[in-house]
Amino acid sequence: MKFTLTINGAQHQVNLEEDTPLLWVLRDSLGMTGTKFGCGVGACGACTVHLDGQPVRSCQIPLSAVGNASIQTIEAVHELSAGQQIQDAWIQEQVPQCGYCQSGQIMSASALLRENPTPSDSEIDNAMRGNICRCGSYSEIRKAIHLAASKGDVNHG
Amino acid sequence: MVEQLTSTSASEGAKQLSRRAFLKASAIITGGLQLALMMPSIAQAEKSEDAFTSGAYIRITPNNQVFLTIGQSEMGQGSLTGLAQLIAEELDADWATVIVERGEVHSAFFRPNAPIQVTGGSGSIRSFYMVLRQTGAAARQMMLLAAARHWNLPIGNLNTKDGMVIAPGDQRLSYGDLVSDAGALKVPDLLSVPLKDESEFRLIGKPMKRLDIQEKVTGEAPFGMDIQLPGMLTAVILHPPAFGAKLLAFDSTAADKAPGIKAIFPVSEGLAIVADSYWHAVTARKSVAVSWSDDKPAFDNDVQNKKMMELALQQPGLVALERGDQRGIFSANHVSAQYDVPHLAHACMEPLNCTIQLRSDSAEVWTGTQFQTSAQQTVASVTGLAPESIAIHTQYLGGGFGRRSAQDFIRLAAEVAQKFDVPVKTVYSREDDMKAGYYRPAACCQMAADLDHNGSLVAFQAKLAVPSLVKHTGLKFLMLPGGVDSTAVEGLDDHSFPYQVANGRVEWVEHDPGVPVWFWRSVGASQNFFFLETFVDQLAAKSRRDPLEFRLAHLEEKPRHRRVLEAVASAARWGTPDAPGVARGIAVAESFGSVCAQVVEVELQDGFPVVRKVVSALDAGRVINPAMVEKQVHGSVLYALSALYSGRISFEKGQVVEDNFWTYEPVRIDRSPVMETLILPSTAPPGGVGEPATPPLAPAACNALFALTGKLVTSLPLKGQSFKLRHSI
Ligand code: FES
Ligand code: FES
Repeated sequence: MKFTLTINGAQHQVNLEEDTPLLWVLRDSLGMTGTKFGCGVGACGACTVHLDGQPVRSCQIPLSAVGNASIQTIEAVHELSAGQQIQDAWIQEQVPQCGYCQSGQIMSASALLRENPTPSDSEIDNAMRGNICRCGSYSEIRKAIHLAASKGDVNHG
Repeated sequence: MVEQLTSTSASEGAKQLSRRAFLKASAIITGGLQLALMMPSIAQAEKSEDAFTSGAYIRITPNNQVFLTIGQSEMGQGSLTGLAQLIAEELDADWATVIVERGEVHSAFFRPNAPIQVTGGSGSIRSFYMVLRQTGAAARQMMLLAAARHWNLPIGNLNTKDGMVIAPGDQRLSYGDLVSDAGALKVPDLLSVPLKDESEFRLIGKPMKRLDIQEKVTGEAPFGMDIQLPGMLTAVILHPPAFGAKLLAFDSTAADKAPGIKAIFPVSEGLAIVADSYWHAVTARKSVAVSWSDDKPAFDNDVQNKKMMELALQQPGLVALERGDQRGIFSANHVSAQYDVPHLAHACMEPLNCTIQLRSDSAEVWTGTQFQTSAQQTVASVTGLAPESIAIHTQYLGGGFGRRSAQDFIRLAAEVAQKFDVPVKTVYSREDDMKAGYYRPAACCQMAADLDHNGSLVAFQAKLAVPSLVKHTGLKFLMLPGGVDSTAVEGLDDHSFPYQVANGRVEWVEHDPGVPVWFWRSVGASQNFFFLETFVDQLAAKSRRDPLEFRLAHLEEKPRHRRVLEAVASAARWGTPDAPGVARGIAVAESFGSVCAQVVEVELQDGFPVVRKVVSALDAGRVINPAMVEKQVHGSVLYALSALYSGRISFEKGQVVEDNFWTYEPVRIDRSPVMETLILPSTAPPGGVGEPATPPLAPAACNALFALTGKLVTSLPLKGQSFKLRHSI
């Protein structure tokens, strides 16, 4: 089936079975490999993207469920002011180790910051507990989110 | 893993390497200088300039870019940055101009005492500390000499800084200005080239930012999983349902018609399903009908395996430690305990994968491997190609923890690629990754000890039942004299047992139920220090001594152990009263050339133990990048904590039960404890940092639990066990 997707502001046509998860559309059909495959069952968060601004697990979203929603991925997260601030804070705190989980972490964290410019520790826990990091970068993630929050002026849009 | 790869001290290792290594300089096409480390035996075999350049360590271009080639794999531990710091330090390069490149398979990247290119055993910095400094220093000498000739000044009047040679009167020449002259000079002898005094270090010991940071926050860092090549196909494997089961027959009539399917055929272990995309391959896999032989491991479930391990403990074992009187020496004051731990999966964040393009006389391999020379051999043995004709393009590794030194995924990828003239990426799903084996082995241990009336240890006995990793990995140099596998007895053999004791015996019984096992972050130390360090708290309790004081009293000849214990005790304010409902435990472990002690604070939440805080003190010798070392400690603690809470690969009817992160649960951010890490200053040669903070966590937490509840934890994980506060018992 033919689908038209709006990804990072651009339109993409794909011709695929309707049950194809958005994750594999991005990675295999469109070559956007920044979004990662970690578990395929919604358990790890490595595949997190924004769907109309909300963080979702792209491995759990079939193509048929995307509709007209606008999709934002790690490739363009810097276009959000919250995304840019999160990336800057990630560099400042040197968060990534292997780096494989970090696209998902950054997508979840920037969605959090957009909704809640000054999250508490427990709000961070709630927003980030869906993202596993096997390298154990959680304390750096927590610090970096607080750092990004402290820089303020995050655009709520 | 692979402790004995680097069991010689770093400086001895570097000397060995230097004795048989030399540097070769050349002017490269663009007029830059290139310095490559060469091994004489290999150098002779390398006629082509290509082979030479692929091993280059240092390439300086006329426009002052400094390219450093790193042969070690980057799996998060930061070796790309740490190794570059070593070269750039002695070269006096401008750090802002340093660009790291990943090397192919080359003798320049082999370990000092074995012709293997491997990243493991917390050995990258330890193995290359001296030789990379010497290489940087040699290049600097050449710059100085070229400048001395240019200015006609004595070399002693010149200095270097940030990629410049500086003469009196502040005359300056950049390294880029000097490269073509320097390229024509004789390369200084590696062993006699002067190295900086530590007071002059600008990069070593400094928290330099990771060189791979930018691409790791933008999604651009290339992992093996991200390889995309023209015409590439994707394969998944239908793995056997139990280890050892063989494919008897299959019917792919339905799957053959599924969208995108290119071929379905048997491989050595299972069935390959090849399609134009991962989703097509993995979807079609579900509709293949297969019958398997009923081969399986020697046990059906974990209860049976435990019984088999207990039976094994009744057999005579190989002796790893014997001291003084070894008979039944035990008085009424003796203490004994039996412990067991389960199989553990590594569960790297990036599922295993390997992409291969096979041609008639060569192959290219793109993968995240920890063991390049073994990958080359593996592909060679499947395809019949010469190992030298197989290029290994090491990608970033989405976690390694030992798992990525195994060869199963590379071998299967080679078998699949053989059928195609286009590149094929073979991918494990998360379920495959978790169920396909190569686990930290399950193990069982009995310990007994005798104390005198002063509460001093007079006799110690231990017996271990665990498989041989030497047998599973084929790495024979891990064998101790007498046929004892060093990984089985780490921490308990005569060489590594830390505590003073006059009488003792430790035996190892090889118990192999037929499950593929492998190196897992901190290897044998991951279980043996759980056994030993919880047992030591039992001894302290029996003799009514404080666990810290008991340890210190039996570690008189272990200054590094004492130092980390004292440091961690003071930081955690050991000896002050615990808050209500909270208790602390302590443990210490030496592994991979470093010593780490931890104090762990535990409380019960709804009957389940929760680690609230972990204070670590690490003596890792000289530290190259303290910021990265701290992160390795955090990572090791959380890796061990996941195993402590719920880590278990269990078996039913001989088949692995856990299949994804819902059932094999890593710690998430809401269970990540407060961590405080002390990195103790040292001028000793560097020790390992990727693993040594893993072993003390479980025993320190279990010792805290013992203090809190009075219950001795003898079996891991904690999930499924019940605990009550001591006063409510
Ligand atoms: S890959 Fe989607 S949640 Fe893990
Ligand atoms: S950085 Fe490796 S999994 Fe998070």
